[in-house]
Amino acid sequence: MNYEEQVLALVREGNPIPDLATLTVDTAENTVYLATLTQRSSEMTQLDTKKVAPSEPRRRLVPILVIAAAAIILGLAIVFITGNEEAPIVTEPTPTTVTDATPTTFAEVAPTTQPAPTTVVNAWDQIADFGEAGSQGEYRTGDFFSVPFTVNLPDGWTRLAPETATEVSLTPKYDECFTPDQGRTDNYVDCTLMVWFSTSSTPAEDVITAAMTTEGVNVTDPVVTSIGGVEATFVDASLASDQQAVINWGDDIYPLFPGSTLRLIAVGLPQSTVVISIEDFTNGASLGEAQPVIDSIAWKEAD
Amino acid sequence: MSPSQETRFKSLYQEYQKHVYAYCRRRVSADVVDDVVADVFLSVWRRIGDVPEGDDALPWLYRVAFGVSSNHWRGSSRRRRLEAKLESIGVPSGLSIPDQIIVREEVRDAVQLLHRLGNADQEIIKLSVWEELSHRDISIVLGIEENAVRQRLHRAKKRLTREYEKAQRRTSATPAAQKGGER
Repeated sequence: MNYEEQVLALVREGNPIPDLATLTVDTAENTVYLATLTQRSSEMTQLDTKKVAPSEPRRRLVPILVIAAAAIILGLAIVFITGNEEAPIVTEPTPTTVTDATPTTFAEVAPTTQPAPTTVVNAWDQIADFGEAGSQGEYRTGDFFSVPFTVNLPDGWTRLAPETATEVSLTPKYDECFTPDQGRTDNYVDCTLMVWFSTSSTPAEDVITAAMTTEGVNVTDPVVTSIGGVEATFVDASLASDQQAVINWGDDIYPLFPGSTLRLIAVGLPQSTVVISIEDFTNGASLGEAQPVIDSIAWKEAD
Repeated sequence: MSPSQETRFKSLYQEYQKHVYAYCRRRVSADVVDDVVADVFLSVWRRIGDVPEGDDALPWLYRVAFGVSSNHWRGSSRRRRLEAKLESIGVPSGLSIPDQIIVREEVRDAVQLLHRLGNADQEIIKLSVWEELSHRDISIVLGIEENAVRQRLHRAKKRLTREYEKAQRRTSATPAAQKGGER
């Protein structure tokens, strides 16, 4: 038996579940699980039905909205005509009744069709969970995270892992992980990007120094930037070989794996350093996707 | 989900739950395997219309399980950081080693060698040796051509063999082994 046959035979022997026949699965738990899914399906069907057939109040609302829309169009048309009354092609004086009607119609419609813009900042736990489609919006970490901030998320972004006092995380378009026909074949993970925010007592410059002095890692020159109006420094790091390496900045670490690029941003806030670790599984091609999110960060006072 | 889709889901679940469970258990630890399996079937539930018919269904399920297991591991911040900390102080992390008890030392050593390979190499060897999938089915799981499967599997096996060979040489070069050889 040659070496290859030997090692494969040993690996085969090391199979944690060598035989499915010996595997027992808790059928009671499965039944509960299936029932839960069936219940969810039923609820989703009800929601779909509601979408197709509007409820009675909504039906009554439709003609009102049609009339309102017609009034708006009429009002705008009148405004347009009135606004052009001095144009060379208009030779006859504008009828009095029309000019009288214009402000009245406009004033009546304006409050309902042009509401004052309001900024809604959503709580962090309103970000969709990992595995669900997130909604675009502005979100604020609660006081659970010791350095609160707000961030604007595009559609699709979700929370990646449970939040802790020192760490929150985000990822875009989770469903990409499960697209069977996705073109990328060499990545172990099809997800493109993960963004971690963690607090650290290590000074920002020491975090960057730790990255730059980690053996086996290629690191770009530090770039000074601004995150939420606060000075920050970032480097891009990737493995120099297939050997795993760990960037360790004292009270926290970030492991690097083959095929990933890590953008490490250290923000020197007065109360704490915030380390933003953006891990890109597409050799840097997806880093730009995180940029608008990072650019939207605004640091907040704790409530 | 229509009644026919619901029936299809139930039949997939009943037919393949053990396969999916075993697949996940071979990649994640026992304490989280139930959650990972649940996530796999939740994804299947959402994409029931995409599941291929016939023999291609199982490799497709493995593909979903592959993504869920990978993401579970990567997404589990505290765990991966703990594992990396263990690595950094010289303790084997078992990054994706299930916590099985392997009695024979040489088997344990071989599995550890497997887990020192790159993730892509590990996965293709596991699919071939543990899941016993054909090249065609592996191509469905990994979303690559069959020819690419052959090449990658060949390369992965070569790397594993090289590591094994080196380990064997190191073992035979140790003083204890040399003493044994002198007897």
